[in-house]
Amino acid sequence: MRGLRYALFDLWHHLPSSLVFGVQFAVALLVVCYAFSDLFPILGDLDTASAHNTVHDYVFEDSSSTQYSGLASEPDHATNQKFIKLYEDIRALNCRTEQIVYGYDGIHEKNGSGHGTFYVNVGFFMRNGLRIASGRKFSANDFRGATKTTPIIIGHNLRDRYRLGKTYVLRHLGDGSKFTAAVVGVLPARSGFDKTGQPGTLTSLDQSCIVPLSDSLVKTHLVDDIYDIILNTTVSTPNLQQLANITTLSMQLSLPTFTYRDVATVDQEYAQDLFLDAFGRFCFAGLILIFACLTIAVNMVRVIKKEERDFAIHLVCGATVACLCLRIIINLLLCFFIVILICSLLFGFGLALVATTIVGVVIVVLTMIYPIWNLTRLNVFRAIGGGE
Amino acid sequence: MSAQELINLKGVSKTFGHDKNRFFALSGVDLTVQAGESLAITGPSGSGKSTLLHIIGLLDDLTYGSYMLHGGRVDHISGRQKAWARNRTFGLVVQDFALIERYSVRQNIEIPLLYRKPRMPRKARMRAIDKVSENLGISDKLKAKAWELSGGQRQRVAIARAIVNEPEVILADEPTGALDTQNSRVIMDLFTQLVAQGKTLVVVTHDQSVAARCNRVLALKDGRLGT
Repeated sequence: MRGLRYALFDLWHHLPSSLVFGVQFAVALLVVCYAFSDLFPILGDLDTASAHNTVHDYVFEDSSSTQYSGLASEPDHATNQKFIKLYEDIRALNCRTEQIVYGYDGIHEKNGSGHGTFYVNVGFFMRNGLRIASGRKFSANDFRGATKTTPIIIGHNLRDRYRLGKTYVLRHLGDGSKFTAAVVGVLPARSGFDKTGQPGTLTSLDQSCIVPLSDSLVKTHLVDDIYDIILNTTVSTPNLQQLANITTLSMQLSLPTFTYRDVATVDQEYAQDLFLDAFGRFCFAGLILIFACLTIAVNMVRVIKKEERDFAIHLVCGATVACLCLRIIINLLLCFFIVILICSLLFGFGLALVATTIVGVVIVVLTMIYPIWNLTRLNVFRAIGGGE
Repeated sequence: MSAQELINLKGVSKTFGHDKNRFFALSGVDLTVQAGESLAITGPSGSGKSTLLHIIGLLDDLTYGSYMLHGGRVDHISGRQKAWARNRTFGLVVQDFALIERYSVRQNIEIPLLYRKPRMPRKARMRAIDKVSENLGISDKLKAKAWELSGGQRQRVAIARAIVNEPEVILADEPTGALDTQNSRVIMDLFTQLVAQGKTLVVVTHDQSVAARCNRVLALKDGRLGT
C-alpha cells in the first residue's frame, strides 16, 4: 500500500512524463501491431499496402503477352477446342493448379442485390500477398470440400452484412443453387489483386465474397470460364517429366510459346518470399521495439535523475533500494494501466490487453536495468546536499 | 566496552580512487561516542568531517577498520540491515534541509515512519507527527508544502523528521549553515533540549559557536582526528 500510495503520488507529479511514456509505448504498439497484423489484427483495416504487391510467379507463363489479348472473351472455335483440350490434358496429368479462377456470378440476397464472387484456388492469398483483417484464411480442407458448409471470406464492405463466424444460406445467381456458407474471415479495406500485371488494373475485393474452389465447384460453375482458367491458372508440375509432357502438349496444339517451370522452383520462390516477408517484418518490429525501449529508457533515466535527491532522502530515512525499485515498477505498471485503458477504448479490450502486456513486460524489463543500477550506486549524502 | 558506549570506531580509514590516485579521506580514526553526549566535529573543508558522518550514519562503507554500534559490528551487515539501523538509530539533519519540495510538511515528517518495522498504523503515525510538530512549533504548517516555508521553518521540519522515529542518535551536518544568527540559535536550543532528553548528538560544523554548545569537540585534519 505504501508503494502504491507513493507511486500514485509520483504518477500525478510526473503526469507529463507518464503521458510521453504512454505515447511512446502506444506508438510502438501501433507499429508492432501493424507489422504483425496477422497476429494482432486490430489494425487490419490499415493493412492495405501489402495487398497491392501481387506476385506473378506463374509456372505456366505466357512469354508473349499480346497473343492472348481478347482471347478470354471471344475465342474462335478452333482456339476454344485447343484450350479445352489443353486444360483437360493438364488436369489429366494431375498437375496442381494454383492461381485464381474468376467467377462472375454473384451471391444472391433476399433484397435482390448481389455481390461478386471469386472462386479461388490454393495459393490465391499467398500469390497475391493478401492478408486477413480478422478471422482466418482458407485451409487445405476447405479446398477439398470436406465440410458441408462452404467457408467464405468476405470483403471489407460486407463485414457489417455478413458477420464473422455466422452461417448463411446463399443462392447462386447463375444456376440458382443454394449453398450454406460460413464467414471465416474478413479482408482488410481496399484489398485487391492484379490479374493482368499491368499498373492500375487492381481488382477490388471490397464488395466480394471469396469461395474456395473445390472440385465439385469446378464442375458446377467453371466450365464456361475455361479460358480464364487456362490464362490465369498457375500449373505446377511435380516433376520434369510432366513438365516435358505439358510442353509437348502445347507444341502439339500449336499454342504460343510458354515458359514452364517445375514446382520445386516455384515452391522455393514462395518459401523465399514468405521468409523475406516474415524476416522483414521481424526486423522492422524489432527496430521499432528497440527504438521504443531506448526512448522510454532515456525518459526513465531522466525521471530517475530528477528523482535522485528524493530517492536519496528516502534511503536516508530507512528505505531500501529494493523498496524504491518496487515503487518505480508500480509507477510503470500504473502507466501501463493507463495505456491499456486507452488502447482498449481504441482497439478493443482483449487484444489491447494481450498486446500491451507482452510488449509492456519487455519494455519494463529493459528499462528497469538503469534505475536499479543507478540506485545501487547512488551517493546518498551528496544527493541530499551533504557537504564535502 | 562501556555500558554507555553507543558508537565505537577503531582504526577507520576511507579511501577513494585506486592505485596511484588513491586518496585517504579518513586515516586511522578512533572514535567513541557515549549515549547522551553531544559531540562536535570541526575541521577545515576537505578534512573528512562529512565522510566520517556518512560512515557513522551507515550511508557509506569504511575501507579499513571496524565500526561497532551498541557493541555489535555493523561494518559488514547487509544493505537491508543498514537501512533498518538508519531508520531506528539515526536521524539526519543536513545544511540544505533535504526536504522533498512537492511533499507537504506532514508527508516529509512521515517518511521515516513509513519504513519503520513493524509497520506503524496510520493513526499512530499521525499522532507521532502531531506531537513532534507541536514540540517544534510547526503544527500550523503541517498542510503547507515544503517550498512554502522559510529557512528556519524548513530546518525545524528537517529536525522533526529526524526525531519523529525517536532515534538514539541525531547526526547533523552543518545544521545552521543556511540559517541566520537568530534561527541558528533557535535550532541549537532545540538540539540542546534533545540532548537533555537523552538523545545523542553528533554535529559536523565550521561554526565555533555551534561547537561550543556541545559537550565534546573533536578536530579533524587531513583525515586524522585530534582533540
